[in-house]
Amino acid sequence: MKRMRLLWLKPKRTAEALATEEAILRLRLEGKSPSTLCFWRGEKCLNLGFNPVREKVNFPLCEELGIPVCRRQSGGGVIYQESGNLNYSLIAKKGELSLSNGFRSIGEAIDSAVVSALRAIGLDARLMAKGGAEVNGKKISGSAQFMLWDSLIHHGVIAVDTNVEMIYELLPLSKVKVTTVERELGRRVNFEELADKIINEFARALGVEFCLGVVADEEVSLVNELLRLKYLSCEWTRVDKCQKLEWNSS
Amino acid sequence: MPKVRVELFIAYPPTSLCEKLMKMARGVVEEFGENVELQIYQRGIPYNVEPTRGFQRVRKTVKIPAILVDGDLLAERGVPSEDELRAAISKKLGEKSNYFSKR
Repeated sequence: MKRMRLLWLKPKRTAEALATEEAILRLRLEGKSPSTLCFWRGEKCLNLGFNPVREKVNFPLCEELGIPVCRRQSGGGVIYQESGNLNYSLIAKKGELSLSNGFRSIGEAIDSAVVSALRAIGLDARLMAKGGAEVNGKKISGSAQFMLWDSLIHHGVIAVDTNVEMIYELLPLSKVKVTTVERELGRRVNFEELADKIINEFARALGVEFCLGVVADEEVSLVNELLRLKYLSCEWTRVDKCQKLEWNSS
Repeated sequence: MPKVRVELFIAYPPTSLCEKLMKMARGVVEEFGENVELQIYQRGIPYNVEPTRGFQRVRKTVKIPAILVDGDLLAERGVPSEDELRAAISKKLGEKSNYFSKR
């Protein structure tokens, strides 16, 4: 069975996690990094998709509350990041993932694995038509994908103990109803326990074995370069005022 | 006579493969002097010039790094040989020269 590295990242900022994903992807392309599954939780941040509908975002409130803004490589909607979210990122060469359960795409396999993990902790989770998972008609998890050459980042977020009211305030025009794992279960949930369930389901769906590892020095150097050149730059984020908050918090 | 435009679509910041493509394209374009211009677009960064229609057509589906000559895709997710690029530019220059000499 193929082996993949498992990382628990502890980013100070969402931008740092995004830079880490991309650093691993770039070094994976050059055969210098192994395929990796990362888990992370971040501080408050508004995470914009590659082509965000900026009119939907309440930027003045963002600024007032000191919530930094970053922009990711993949498409999709805006995510309100905070420590109540559990994020995962799979970085791998497309060809090395065997879709063992008849899935048509890697995205479908991973989203289904997340649904299975949520069901394993007692939720009546279902796959959404456009990807992601829902419980009782409300979105609980979303995901997106980005490809470079023959490798991909498939990343997603699960609302475990997220401040849902804050999502509605920051994204007042969004019509998506959101819920959280703890709200639906009516009890506290251990993040590691949920991550373990996801790891098991990913291993089964992708036919791989995960082994705990660490971030290599070369990856750290590239993360810092990507933060400086890209993820903390106004040129990439294209939001001036909020981005300055991100700089100031470093 | 209008210039032939070579367009590169690369990652931001460029990957090692993107760097290789830029270096090769710059060298070949320089050989043709003023008749050929090079435009480099970085994914996710606003463009300074209006891209060709050919580029706009493939922008969302093409794999980076990609190279187009006067709107025709020459290569994607890789670097063509210098000779391939020279041939594509020469062909376009020939077409333009014929078109304008007939008018």
